[in-house]
Order: sequence, then C-alpha cells, then structure tokens
Amino acid sequence: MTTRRLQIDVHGATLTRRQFVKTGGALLVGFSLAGRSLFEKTAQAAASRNSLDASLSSSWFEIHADNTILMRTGKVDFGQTTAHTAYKQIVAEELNVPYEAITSVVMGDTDRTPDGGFSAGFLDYGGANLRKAAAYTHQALLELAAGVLHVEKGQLSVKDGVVSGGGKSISYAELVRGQQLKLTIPVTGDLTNMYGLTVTGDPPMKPTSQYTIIGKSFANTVTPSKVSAKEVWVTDVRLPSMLHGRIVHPRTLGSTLVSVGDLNKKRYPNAQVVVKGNLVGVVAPTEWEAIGASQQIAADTKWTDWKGLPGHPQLHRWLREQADWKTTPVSKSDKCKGEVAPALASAAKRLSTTYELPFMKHAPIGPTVAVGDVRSDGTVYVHTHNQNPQALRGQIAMMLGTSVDNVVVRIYAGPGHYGRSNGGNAGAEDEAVILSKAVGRPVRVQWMRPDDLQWSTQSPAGFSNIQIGWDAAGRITGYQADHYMPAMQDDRLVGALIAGLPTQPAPDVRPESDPIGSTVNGISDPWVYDQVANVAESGYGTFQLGQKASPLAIGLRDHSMRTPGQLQQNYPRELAISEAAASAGIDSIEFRLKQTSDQRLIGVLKAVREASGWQTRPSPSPKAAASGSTTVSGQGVSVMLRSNTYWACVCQVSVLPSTGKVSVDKYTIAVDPGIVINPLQLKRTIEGGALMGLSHALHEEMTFDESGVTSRDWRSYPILTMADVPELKVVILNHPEVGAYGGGSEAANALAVSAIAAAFYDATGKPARRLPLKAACVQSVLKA
Amino acid sequence: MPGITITVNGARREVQAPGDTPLLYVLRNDLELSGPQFGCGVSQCGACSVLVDGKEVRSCVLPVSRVAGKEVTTLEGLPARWAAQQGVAASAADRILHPVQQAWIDEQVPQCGFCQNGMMIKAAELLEETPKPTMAQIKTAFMSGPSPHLCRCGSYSAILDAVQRASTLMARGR
Repeated sequence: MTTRRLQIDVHGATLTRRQFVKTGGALLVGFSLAGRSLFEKTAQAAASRNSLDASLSSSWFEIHADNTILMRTGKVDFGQTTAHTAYKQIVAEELNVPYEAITSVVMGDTDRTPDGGFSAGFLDYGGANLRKAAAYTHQALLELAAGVLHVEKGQLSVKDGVVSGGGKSISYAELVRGQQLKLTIPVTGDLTNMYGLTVTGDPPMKPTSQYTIIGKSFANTVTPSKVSAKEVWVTDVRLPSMLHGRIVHPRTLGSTLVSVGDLNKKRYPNAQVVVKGNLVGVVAPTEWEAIGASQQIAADTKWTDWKGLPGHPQLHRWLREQADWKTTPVSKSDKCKGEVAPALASAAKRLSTTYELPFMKHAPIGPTVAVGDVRSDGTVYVHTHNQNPQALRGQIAMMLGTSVDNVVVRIYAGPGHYGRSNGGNAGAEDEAVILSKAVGRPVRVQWMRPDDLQWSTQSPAGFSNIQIGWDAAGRITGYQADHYMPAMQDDRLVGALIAGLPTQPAPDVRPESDPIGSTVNGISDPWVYDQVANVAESGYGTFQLGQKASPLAIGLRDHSMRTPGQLQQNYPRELAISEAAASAGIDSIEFRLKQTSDQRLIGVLKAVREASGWQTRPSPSPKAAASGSTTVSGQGVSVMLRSNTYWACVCQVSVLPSTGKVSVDKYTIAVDPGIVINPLQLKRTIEGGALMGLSHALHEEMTFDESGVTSRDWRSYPILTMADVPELKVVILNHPEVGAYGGGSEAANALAVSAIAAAFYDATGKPARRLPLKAACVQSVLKA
Repeated sequence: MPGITITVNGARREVQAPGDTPLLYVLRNDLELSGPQFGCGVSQCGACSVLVDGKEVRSCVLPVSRVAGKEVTTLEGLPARWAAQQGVAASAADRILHPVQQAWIDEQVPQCGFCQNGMMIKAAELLEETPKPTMAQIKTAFMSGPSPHLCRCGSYSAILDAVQRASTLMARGR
C-alpha cells in the first residue's frame, strides 16, 4: 500500500486521494460544512459519532471498482417511488452512467445517510441535492480521467460510465480501482431541523437537452420485495428481549390522570404498567397480552373531564364567530395588485361567496408503530417509518435531555403518511422510547386504529370568503380572497406532551421566523390568472383548536397533508371561478382562458378539454335538476400551479337528487411538470392522488365532540372504496425546455375537490360550498 | 399452555398461544411471516387477509383456535399454491411468483404497498373462482367480505389493471 498526495479543486469541491489499495478501490462523496462558524449546531451534529462523518464511507455516493454505485439519501420513500426511481435517474443522468449502475439505495437512516430534511417536495428540494452532488462527482471523475489519459478535461466526454477523448478511454471503475478517493462537497444547513443540509455551489450540470435517462419509464426496484413478502417492514422489527407495548391514551384531548387501574395479574401475569406523567403504557412479552392488559387498564383508569372544543357540527360557526384571527399577522400574496374594492364596486356583475372545508385525517392504512431501544450506555435507537428521521433524532434528544450524538433513527418501509411525519414524528416513536427507558428493554409500540385516528395530527379545517367581479365581456376585473385556517404544522411529540417531557414549542405567532410551526396562514395557492388587474389575497391564521386551553396543551393538533394550505385555498378559488363563469353565462374553461396569458396554464386547460370529452357550454347543464329520482350529470374543471407544475382537471359526475348520492364517472387530468422524469411512475402516482381527492370530496370529514376526536375507525372515518373508482385518464405534457422538474402527484388530490363540486353545480344548479358531498349534506343543499 | 397445530403454507406448525389470539399475531410474531399486516384490528380494511381453505378471511379477528385443521395460505405461500395448481414441483415455488404477484409488478401497483397483501390475497381468491372476471366482478370482489378492501394511496385503478393482467397470465399458465 502506498500513499501519494492528490488534491484537486472541483468547482469548489475537493478531490483527495487517501491512499492506494491492492484490492477494490472507490470514490466516496462526502461533505464539508460551508460557513462552519455560522452553523455550529450543524457542525456538531455532522461530526457526532452517530451521524455521518464525511471522512467515512457514509456519503452521497460510492463509485466502486466493480462498476457498481451506491447512493444515499436522507429522504424516505413513502410510495411515491421517487427515491427508488426518479432519484436514481437524476443521479445516473448527471454521472453519465446507466440507470442500472446504481445498484443500492440507502435511505433515511440517520447514521447512514448524509442530508436529512423532510421527505416532501421530493423533486424540488431533495432532488436538487442529489443532482448537484452527482454533478460534482462527474466533474471530479473527469479531473481524474484527464490526469490519467493526459487529455484536457474539456476534450473528454462520458457515456455509460466510460470517459473518452484524444482517442483514449477509461471507465469510472478503472479510474477508482486500487485507490481510496474522497470528494468533499460543500453543504450548508442544520442536519436535524426541518430542512436538513443543502448542497451549495454551482457545479456544471448536464443540459436538459442531452438527457437520455430522465424521461424514460423505469420500474420501481422495491416493488418485487413488497409483493413477495420479502421486504422488511417497520412492522417486522423484532429485537432481542423486546416487549410489546400499547398506550392507554387519556380519555379526552385535555384529560389528566386521576388514578391508574389495577392490572389483573391473574389474567395478564406477564404484563407491566408504566406511568410517566399522564402517559399510561402497558408492556408484555406477547402482543395479545399487551392488547388485553391495555384494554383492561383503560377500562379501570380514571381521568379528569375536559370540554374545550366546539364539536364538529358547530365548527365553522365557531371559527367565524369565536376564533382569534386578530393576534396573528395577516399574510398577503405576492400577487396582490391594483385596487380591488373599487373594481368590485364598478363590476358589471359580481359574486360573493364563502366556502368551508372540514378537518381531514392523513389516515395511513397502518397505524403508526415504532420500536424504542434505550440502552444502558445512554444510546437510543428508534426503529420507525418516518418522513424526517433527522428531525425525529433531534426531538427525541430534546425529550430525553440528551445529546443528538446519542440518538440513532433507523428507517423501514411502512404505510404512507401523506405529510404527517414530515416534521419528524409519526406518532408512536416517543412513546416507544419512554416505555423502553422505563423498563430497560426494547419496546415496540403499535398504535391501534382508534389511537391513530384520535391522537394523531390532522389537516386543518378552514373557510374562505371570495369576491369576484367581471365586466360585460366576462373578464374578471377584481378578485378578493380571504382565507381562514388554524396553524397547520405541529411537530411536537404527543407522548412527550402527555408525559410532561420537553418538546419544541407549540405553533404560535412567530412572524419573523420560519412559517413552519407558526400560526401565520401564508398564501399557498399561487395565483395563475395574470390578466386580472386587481387582486387581493389574504391569509388569516389562528391557534389550534383547544390547544391553549387543554391541560395537556394538546387539543386538535394539525399537520400539513399533501398540498398543505393549498387545498384549503385552491378549492374555494377554483369553485368560485366556476360559479362566476356560470353566472357570466360563459363556459368554465373558456372563462379561465380569458383570465390568463400563461401558456403552460393554457396548455393544460386545452389538453384536459380535449381528453375529457368536455362539452363547451355554460353551466348549469340544460338538463340540470335538483329534485327527482332521475340521475343528472355534470362537468367541472379546476386548475393549479404547484412547485412549477401546471395542472388542470375535469370531473364528470352523476347525482341522484332523491337520495343525494354523488358519483364521479370520469376523472381526467393534464399535467405539465416541465421535465418529466419517469412517465410510468408519474402516471401511477397521479392516479393515486386523484383517487385520494375523490375520497376527500365524497367521504372525508373528521368528526369530534367537545372533548376529542370521535372518528375512530374506517366506519366513522370512511375513505374511498373500489366501488367509487371512476374512469381515470392522465395526460402528461413533457416540456423539457422549462428546465426544472416539477413536483409529483400531490396536486391531483387537491384538484379533485373543486372540480367535483363544480360538476355537482353543473348537474343540479345548486352550489355545494362545503365538503364532503355526503348524501345528507347534499340533500340539504338541493332543498335550499 | 397446550400447543395448537395449524397448517400454514403447506407446513404443519405448532404454536404456543392462547386459543383466542387472533391468527394475525400468531402469523406475524410466532411464525415470523411478514405478508399479512395490521391495519385496523377490527376487520374493516383487509390488510391482514389470508386464505383459509381458499377463502379470504381477516386474520386480525380470527382466533387461531378456529383454524386448527385448516389450510392457511399467506402472501408468502401464493407461489407454492400456484405451483401446486400447475402441477409444478413445490421446490420450483422458490423461483416463481404467483401470477397475481407478477401482475402487481408488471402494472407497478403499489404506492406505499401496505394494503397490497390483502389486495393480492383477494385477487388470488377471485381468480381461482372466476378466471376471467368482468370489471364489475373485480370491483364486487374488492367490496365483498366483512368490509371493502381499503387502499389509502389510491392504487385502486392500478389494481383493476393488474387483476386483468393476472387473469391473462393465469390463462397462459394453464
């Protein structure tokens, strides 16, 4: 083994050779911290023993001498397939290697992945890190090849991992063979906060016009193990001496413990009760004993009473009349312009309406489960399924009053969360840790179905007042939207709250800080109708319902879901635009086309019109009826701009007025994401989003009384079933010239709700300004 | 505690568990099978489905004592079940997938995939009884039993595609 120094600057990254080796060889891509003094916490976290050490092999990529490449990402795939397909495509494209060359993906584990941050905005946030890291790596490999081949770097080109120039060539594998090379790339940020680390600098990137891998359909490489029961799911984690745990959650969202029931030792001889503050847990060697014992304890445990919520039947009245919308600063859209009040006053015609949305649950199909392993040496391992493992690591360390150095989070496949855990906790993790610490053994806490619906966060309810004025030609002259919604991102650990242990602060008025965790209701639905001269969009925020009054500081905790805030703002905007079009006597798509010059928006609107069989005519339908036992049909449209992606959706629905039954017959969606990375996976994720949107529109409303959530199972919180599935049509418009990867599928769920509500109006001539369109609600609308 | 003998995926297994233990916990914790999942515990979603004597049942509410002497097939056992139906040696089952599983890959059905165990078990049951189901029959199958089979990610349309593909694959296999 010999050592010969090598140090090359690669567009701000540093390539070094650590040593020559007789066998193997690799290029490892790690990071250094930019502005170290400014980001001391990051530096500490990154240097800690249970996090990534840039000098070790845990890094973004490993280019191996056997032509294989390993890729690591702190993001966790939740079924969007992004980490297993799109990320590999992005990396393979920048490295100029075949897609198949990336043979391993390491995801999420806090001691094995580099960047942290939430698993959301996969392509606009997470993809950018990998793309840049790959671009640096590509440049470093070119530098190496230039040295070996004695050819100027500018004369070299790479295809399928082989560098060629000046009549000579060498593969990446050969370039790294017999050496241990390290590329250190610059990053900034805070590993254990919401956003994690970001790769900085500007390495040259491949022009999108030269893409050969991005744009092709690749299968999800994790699918075979999932369908053949070979995947290790979070539900499969079993540690030696592990106990099964269940939590006896308080009787209400504000109840404190009066007395714990006595365990029936005859029936549950091996069970043990753990009490920490107001947190009551039961552990046992077998799962069935833990379940039985926890049910017995639950029946015999006494709690204080608490009534601090309005109850869902009074929700919107309470929000309008009693919620505090004054303490939190009002946010304004950056698209506000002109003078709306005079424009509305002088409009030829105007519409003034209000729209309401209920609380909705993320409702993962499997309740949260985690294994906590607090060891005698003070280290803590958490095995879970979570969208932000590094943030969880920070939260667990805070709860225990220990250093993040002592906490490791390991990630496994599990049920989708749709945003619920993007701030760091899925629900069961902290409770598993608390129980494990108490009993000195690993504990697996599995929430039961009612725990998951009643003790998790939810997507916040809201209401919006919309005013639209237009001229005789149907051009909107003034638009005013006032959106009202409680805080929507509470990342506090619920078990820690119940146990009285430290957590991060509750969402509060924090105008100066990050909007995440603030009561500020930012404008989340980008305005797309650029021809409108006068626009005013305001967001009013407030505290979470019951949270401040709850002795547990809990109440109704909210969390972002798929299109956070945007669904709550897009639904009223798009439904109001459709109602305005109807009032103006103009076809709803034509009406939208009049209000915009944005060619990408026009493109998706025209594409969805053609693909859906849209009838160009004003609404309501000539055959519309609000009564009778004959089915009536209608069509509705909606549009959205999200993460540089344009969407338009058409829904065709049937309504049976006599019963109030609404069915969606056909859902057509056109999407222009700029660069399409993987058409097959994009289509499947859009279909999934579309069907979740139908579920929101037709079924979903979290019910609650004055004390807590009363949705407790799939009967009391119904979601879409196979019987509701319409004909689905997805039209994908590829526009590589845009130069950016737009976001994936999540807009599809938000778009459905306003298109379906507009189609309901078209079919019946009656506006439904509240979701979901359940039979009882529909019948009252039709009778109005 | 007296042991209970059950037959799972063709093998006789003796388990030490109270007779009222739901089959799901025995399969997952005692026999370390990872196909059936805990979704609701009250037979409202189908994530825990297995075949008992060829019929889809919800293992989260079925006491293990009730399957003594019966044939339980989990997701892990689908390849061997297909091999047996084809008259192929059981040893070959390690190298093949049930056509339903293959169709699930071909059609890229799973998003998170957590519910797909029950979806594939239901599809296998349906296609054994009705090799060429109509779209209406497929939808009816997934609405049948103690509850509809639920998917939160919205993979229903992919499932419809995959059941049709599996039907074609099975016809070819026969």
